Amino acid sequence: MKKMILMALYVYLTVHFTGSFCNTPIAFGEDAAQFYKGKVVTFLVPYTPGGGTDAFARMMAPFLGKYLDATIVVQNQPGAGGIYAYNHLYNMKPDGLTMSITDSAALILASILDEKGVDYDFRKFNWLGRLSWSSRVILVAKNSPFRTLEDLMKADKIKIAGTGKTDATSQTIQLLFHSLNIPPEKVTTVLGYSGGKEAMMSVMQGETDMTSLTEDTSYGFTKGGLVKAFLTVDTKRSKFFPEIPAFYELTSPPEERDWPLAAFLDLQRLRRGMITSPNVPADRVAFLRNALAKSLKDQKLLDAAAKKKTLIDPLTGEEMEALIKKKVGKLSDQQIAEFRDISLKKYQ
Amino acid sequence: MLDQLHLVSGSLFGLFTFYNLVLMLIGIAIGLVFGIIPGLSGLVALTLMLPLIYDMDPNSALIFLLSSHAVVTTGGSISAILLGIPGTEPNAATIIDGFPMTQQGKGGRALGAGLMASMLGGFFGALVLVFFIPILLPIALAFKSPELFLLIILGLLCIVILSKGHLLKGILSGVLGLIISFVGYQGLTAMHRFTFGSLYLYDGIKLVPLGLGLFAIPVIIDLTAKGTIITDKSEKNTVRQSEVWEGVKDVFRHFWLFLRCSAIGAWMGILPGVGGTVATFIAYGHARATSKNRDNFGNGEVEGVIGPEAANNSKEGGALLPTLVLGLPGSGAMALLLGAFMLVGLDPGPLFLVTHMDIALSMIWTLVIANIIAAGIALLYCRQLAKIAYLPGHIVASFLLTLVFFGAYCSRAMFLDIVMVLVFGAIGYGMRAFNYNRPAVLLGFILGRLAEKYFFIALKAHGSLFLFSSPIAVALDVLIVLVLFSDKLLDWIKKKRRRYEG
Repeated sequence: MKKMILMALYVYLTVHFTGSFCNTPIAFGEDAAQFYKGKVVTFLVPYTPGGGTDAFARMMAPFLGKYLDATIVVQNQPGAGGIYAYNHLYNMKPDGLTMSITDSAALILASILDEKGVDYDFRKFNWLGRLSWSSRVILVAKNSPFRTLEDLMKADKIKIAGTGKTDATSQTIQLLFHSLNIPPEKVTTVLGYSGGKEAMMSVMQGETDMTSLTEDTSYGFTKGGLVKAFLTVDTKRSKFFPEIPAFYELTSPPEERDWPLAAFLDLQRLRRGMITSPNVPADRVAFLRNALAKSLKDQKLLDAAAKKKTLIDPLTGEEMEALIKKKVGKLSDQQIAEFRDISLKKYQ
Repeated sequence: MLDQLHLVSGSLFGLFTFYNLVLMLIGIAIGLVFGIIPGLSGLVALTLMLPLIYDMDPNSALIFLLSSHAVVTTGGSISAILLGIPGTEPNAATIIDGFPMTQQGKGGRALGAGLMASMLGGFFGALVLVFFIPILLPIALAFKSPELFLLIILGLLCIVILSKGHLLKGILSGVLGLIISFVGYQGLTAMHRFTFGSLYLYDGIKLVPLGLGLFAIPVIIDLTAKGTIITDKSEKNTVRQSEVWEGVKDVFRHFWLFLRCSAIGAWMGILPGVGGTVATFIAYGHARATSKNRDNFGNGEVEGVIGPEAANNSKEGGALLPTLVLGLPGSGAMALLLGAFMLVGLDPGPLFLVTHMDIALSMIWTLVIANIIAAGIALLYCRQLAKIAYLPGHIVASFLLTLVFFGAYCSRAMFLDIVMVLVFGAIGYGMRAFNYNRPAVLLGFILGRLAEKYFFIALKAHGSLFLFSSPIAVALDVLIVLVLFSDKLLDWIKKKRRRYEG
């Protein structure tokens, strides 16, 4: 008798678990909600565990699971500044069971700057929505000689710290310098730091003069007292640094020099987003967008984010797609070539 | 100082969550078992535990790994004293006097002394770390990319030169590690290196399959081939509780010796590449040289147990110092630990202490508490624990094999990782058979990427003369030259002296 019960339990468990782990899509005639029910949805994080993006994804995953009525598995797939994961997602079976959190600005820039290894067309991804964005702040050492924009203009030598060629840590400052018409021979960009934190450390040590990080990350570092905020690269001041001026408050450079920075800042507005593979059936995309929008309004998620001092500023998938079309679409081929030249060559 | 105490005590509460304590106990159990079973080293334990940490938060992950690593030699001392077999390599020095004591029926006393010295030694190592904390930040700030680059080169050189056996084989092993680290996409130059068009290799070789292959597979082959680990079951080990207590008191009778040997251990830990075995033998030599009962050493002298066991556990605190402050590991185990930092998303390197002081402190507490718990368990159950060493080899092997493949696959869910484990397993087995230095491969692998990174940064930020960019850099240059020619230099001095004397 005991054996029978055990056997029954065993069979039940086997069926139960194979049922929930088996995720072959049989989609004909089902509606999207029915499709996702009980499935396993993979949530890619294109960065290593432990960083800000990873923390955000892990914080949000249970809420997505709740509104999709599916099991969410967060999977880190770091490599080549996210390109590895985006390639992977792009070439995947379009079943809508895998999605990825993105640094949308980096994703788009890598694509339009023709970075090696990029195997995707950013226009074809299904954009599910924006989660948050943040202004970038330029950090300098505590006793830095740079206090005003004039100091920058007068300087003989400026060293910028960054991680990779198309990363915002150094790119923000390079485009700002272009806008201010600072000659390239005065500027050295030191690349290779393995993250914003390390770039900030080199500023602390005096190895380099400045780097730029997001406002929330910068805030954490300036509390240590060894670095301070110098400028917020945006139209408005950062709420983390109300006493630090915003770039466009101080000056309004001529349009023909300023457009690359302006275009870049537009992209930064899209920053942390969600995507799924191209060609996923439209009803599933709509369902995913809806679930994401609901998750981002869930009071429990907002409370958790507030506790961690994480910004949330959602935009729907449709709005995001429209924004990308409008902002990136307006750049001419010649402008893109010029942009590439500034961010890959001019200040290297 | 008050601030520091506040920080230190604050981190203690972070450590004492139920989850972390459970993890710590599991880690200690793994560490003890791997320590007791001869042939299974702490490195194997760490490689097997590495895949399990992916989903943990950084703090818990490091508590888990470190608590196991910190107590491996505590477990090893049980086998060394009661069975006369070193559970781990560094315990070899303990046998010289520990096993004769057992044969004379004083096994309990030797165990008591050994375990107490282990525990307090662990304590001492943690204290060394705490005392260095106030000056860590200035040190970290002074080491910019040129200095770090030079330090890595110096570390690699030391490891090669101090490694036992053949110098050339040591160098080749390190270079192999370097080459393995170069596989993959190099973001800075946008180059694909050694990827042969494979998407799998695009992302580089990962630490988990490399470590599992190099260290776990050879052990498994051995265990299956040889059958049992220990065939001789004739040893009767009688351990009486009163004797154990006597041994504990011995440590306090020879407290000054204990302190000196702990200091030796901690210092050896700080130096890159010296390794645990060297540390314990130096401590043993020191105990013998300074003892009144010098002649009794080797025939079961308790001081000969206290010395190496104190050094054994205190060296971990010392070894953590360069790993935490500069992000430079000095041994294979520390390289794995550093790899674990990266797996859970912590940037090793000078910045670590600025941003993660809490984790550094909780690691210190882990050293202290894990050592106390492990010594307590070992003192209470030493006789039962010693029986673990008699487990049939094929059972241990099949258990390990499952863990290896499970771990390799689970870390990224890529089938090719399992293939990689087998490839590196074959390489590891061959390397061991021909006496190549496997930890040097691991160090080359971890340090290779760092060296490359700092080289690029230093060149760009400090120009082509970066090797001479600061007094520290120049001092390191001189040290490197000295180490490179240390053999020749010693010969030359000897010759001079001989001529002088002649």
